[in-house]
Amino acid sequence: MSTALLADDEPHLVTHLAQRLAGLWPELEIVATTGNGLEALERIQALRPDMAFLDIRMPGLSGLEVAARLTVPCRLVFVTAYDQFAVQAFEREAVDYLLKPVTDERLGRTVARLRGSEAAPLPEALLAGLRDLIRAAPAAPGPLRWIKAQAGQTIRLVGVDEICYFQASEKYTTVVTRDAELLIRTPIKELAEQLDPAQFWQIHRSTLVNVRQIAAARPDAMGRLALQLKHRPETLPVSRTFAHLFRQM
Amino acid sequence: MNDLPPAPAPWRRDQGPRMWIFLYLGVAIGNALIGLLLTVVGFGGSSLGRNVIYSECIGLTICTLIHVVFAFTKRGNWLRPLLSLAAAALGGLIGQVLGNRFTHASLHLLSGPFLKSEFIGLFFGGIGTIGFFLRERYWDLEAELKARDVLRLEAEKRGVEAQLKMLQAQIEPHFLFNTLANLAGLIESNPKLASHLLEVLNRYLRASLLRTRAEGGTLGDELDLLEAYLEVFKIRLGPRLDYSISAAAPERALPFPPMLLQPLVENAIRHGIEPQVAGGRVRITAARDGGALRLTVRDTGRGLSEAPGSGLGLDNVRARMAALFGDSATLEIAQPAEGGVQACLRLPT
Repeated sequence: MSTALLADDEPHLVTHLAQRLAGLWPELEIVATTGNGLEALERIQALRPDMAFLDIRMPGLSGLEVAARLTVPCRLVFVTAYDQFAVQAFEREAVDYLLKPVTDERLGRTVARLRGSEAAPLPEALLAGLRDLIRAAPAAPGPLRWIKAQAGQTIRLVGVDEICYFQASEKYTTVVTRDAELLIRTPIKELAEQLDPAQFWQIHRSTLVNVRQIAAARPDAMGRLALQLKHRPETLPVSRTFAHLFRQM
Repeated sequence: MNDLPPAPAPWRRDQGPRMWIFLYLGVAIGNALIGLLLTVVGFGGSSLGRNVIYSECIGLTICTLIHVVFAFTKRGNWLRPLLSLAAAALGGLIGQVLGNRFTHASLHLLSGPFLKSEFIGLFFGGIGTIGFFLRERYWDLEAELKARDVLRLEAEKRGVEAQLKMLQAQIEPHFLFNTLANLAGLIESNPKLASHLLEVLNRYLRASLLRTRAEGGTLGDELDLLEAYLEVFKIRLGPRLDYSISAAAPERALPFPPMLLQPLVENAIRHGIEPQVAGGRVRITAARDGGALRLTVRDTGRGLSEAPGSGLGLDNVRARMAALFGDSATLEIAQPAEGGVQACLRLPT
């Protein structure tokens, strides 16, 4: 007799899948159902079911993360509503997957396949593929648009358009907006790499300025270039290395 | 938010060799005409040839000197017109000396005809100076118009992009397919709940289609839409989600742009509640705050602990706020000490 575990954070979907499996495959025993990835991993390791139906988006661990961490053999079927990248990867690696809402016909095919196969450890190639998928998922496309900064006990999320400039001090970087100064730990150099270079210009070893916030560039009494800002009273010195940015065209 | 980097100084753009040739050719023709005019009125009793040579010498010298003045003084400098006139006077003098050379004549300095020529030189020099000023002013205006055009087009582009993203956000496939999967399951196991879910989903889809297609609409409309949205999740997530919406009737009647609040609620669910094993609570409140309308979406979810990446749909909210309200609307997103996320939207009323 075969055993299975079902994991989905939406309780009705777990119940429904269990019912349909009971109809299609009466001999299959559902040994556990769970609503989060951590519990799914723990139960699979402990109960060693022959197969597991894993939702991809789950709290705790995603279905992909559960798969990547498994150390016991188990046939996996991923269930997802819409994860294009994951589905493409599965097609490549010939892993079974179901798209929600799952049709009877599709579930029937999966069951037929599962019935005729043995539980085996995931092949190494598949594991590598899964790890790539997990890493690729949260990668932010394009430049940094939001900065998380500590303000007392709260953490503020500041849009980069709001920021007038970044100023490095000894340990921290100060984020200066129109009406606030916040501290972050990311060094200027790292910020310069992550921000949109067309919007933030480095004008000094310790200063990154939002180009849209510049009102004018004027030479000061010493002949050095200084920037006036639209919404801040202070001026920012431009070091000679970066003065070329403001030469007249 | 709408402003662009300062435009590069455009007033120098067409000072190429062509411009110089045309300018001097124009001045030369003008000088010849002045010489002709002077002959016609019988100035100094000279021949046409002499008058034209003198006019050319004086006019071209004045033009060159005024150029020098304009090149070495800044716009807005009050010395500029004075120096230009001085250049015209000096140009008149040098031009006459040159004219003497070319015609082998000996017009005495400070004689009557000399002073007359000097006066004529000053007169046309003055006109030339005004011409130079007008030309610069014209270039300024042109540059300003161009900059304004760029700004307007940029704002329009962002507005259209934001509109498009709003339409896409409305049919987020994950939301739709997961909800349909729930419906499919509930129809068999719990038909009553299934019909409730269908009704709420219907309300949400209908409201969001109406909201995005029709101009106007009130905060009440937006909150009704959000209530349907949250109710869908309440059915799907069961005890893991709790929500409340509180707004008084006068606030609900205020006009409110579509789908401005929706992305904030979506974030609360998607990044706050859903990834948290224990789930949590979403609270939406609307209140007047001085002259502004303050909307708060507070959740007790996972907070900002995970890297927010670059998306979250917040850029879209911000772009639409800027397009609709300029600088007078603000969006603040913070993780309070007790956890979760609080998003606060302030709009002018």
